Amino acid sequence: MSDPFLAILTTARWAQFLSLFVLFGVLLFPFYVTGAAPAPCRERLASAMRRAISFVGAVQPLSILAWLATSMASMGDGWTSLRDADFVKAFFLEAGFGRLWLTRLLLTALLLGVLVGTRRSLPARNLPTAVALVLAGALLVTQAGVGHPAGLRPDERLLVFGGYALHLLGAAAWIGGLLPLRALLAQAKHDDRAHDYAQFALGRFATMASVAVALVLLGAAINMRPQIATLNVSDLSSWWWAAGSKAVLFGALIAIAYRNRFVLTPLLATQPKKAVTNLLRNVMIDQGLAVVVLAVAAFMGVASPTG
Amino acid sequence: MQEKLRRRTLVSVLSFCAMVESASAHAHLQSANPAPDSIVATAPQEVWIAFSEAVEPSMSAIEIVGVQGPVAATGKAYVDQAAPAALIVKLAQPLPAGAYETRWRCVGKDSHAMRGSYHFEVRP
Repeated sequence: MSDPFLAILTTARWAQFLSLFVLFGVLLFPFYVTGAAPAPCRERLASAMRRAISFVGAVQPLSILAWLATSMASMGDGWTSLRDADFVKAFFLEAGFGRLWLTRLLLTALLLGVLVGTRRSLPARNLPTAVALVLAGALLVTQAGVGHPAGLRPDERLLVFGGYALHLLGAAAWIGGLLPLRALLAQAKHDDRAHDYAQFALGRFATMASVAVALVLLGAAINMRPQIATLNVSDLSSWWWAAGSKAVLFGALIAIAYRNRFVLTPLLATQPKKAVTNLLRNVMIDQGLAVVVLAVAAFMGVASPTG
Repeated sequence: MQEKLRRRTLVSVLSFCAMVESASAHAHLQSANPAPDSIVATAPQEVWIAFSEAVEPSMSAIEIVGVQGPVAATGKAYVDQAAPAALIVKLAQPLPAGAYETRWRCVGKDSHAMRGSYHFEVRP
């Protein structure tokens, strides 16, 4: 694959990851942070979540189209292939991944329809939010079918698809949930009335994040075997260097989460101002690291472990 | 005790942290007939290339180019069900003596496209 295609494909996949992570995490938030927020908190939280949903709800369909178009162009004779009816027909109807792409496009259309049609009732503990959450989750999970796992032997593929699904859903719940948490902490920083609710939300988020990280690790463990088979320590490919970078970044994310949970959250009871300020800063750092981790994941999705 | 448990948990978590994207290697050429840079005495009636993983025949292609330009094939490149990693193209006629370039495009089941070319010569 030529470099321009590689760059566009990586960017499109990154935008797709980011948009689905934020959508999934934000839509899931009302289902585990169930208490009623006090008025000032509620408004800020709802406004932050709706803004995020509007933005990533637009990025998701655009990025999936960019991913699809670039993928098709890289398989054919460049961008002109997109105007070749026989090529397009063969891509969607003859290639093994074609029908999965059609499914992903259908899921995208449905998600867009739900986000636009029920925007006033999102996000809350209601049916439209649950439907949008399931659609975003399905879009995350089906990425496995158009990526590296699809190239595995049939006997390994199903297991790795499962691991991939657990991994992405766990990561999206965790990373995407940082956005509403940040809005809450930002409110709590300036408004003492929001401290109790922020503490409650942090507790719920910590429980959810523990489960999410367990899923991330379980999925990773399942996906480990086919990767290890490609490892050549004496001649590491750019893919393996990217994996190493991601390991370091993920380690930093976990270290910050550890400090938030076991040091700063208990501090809320005795020194709320200091705790909230530090938690807010850490959540923002976590978000920045997550953006970089997803960029590295997007690169790994288009690169080959063997170089 | 609790602090020790927390540290162990943290170390366990970090030890897994590289495994985010499951991977297979992209398809690459493993062997071919005629072989790259070979001289064959018998004019081939087909060209096949074996890749490192199963390919999508509808998205893959083999083109043979001689000094006169592309050589006609009887149809699109296809995959034998018994060997899903091998792409085959039947030639309309046996190749006359001369130098040829084989240009291939292979799309793996993982949607990744790879391209390449190699030369061979027919010298009866």
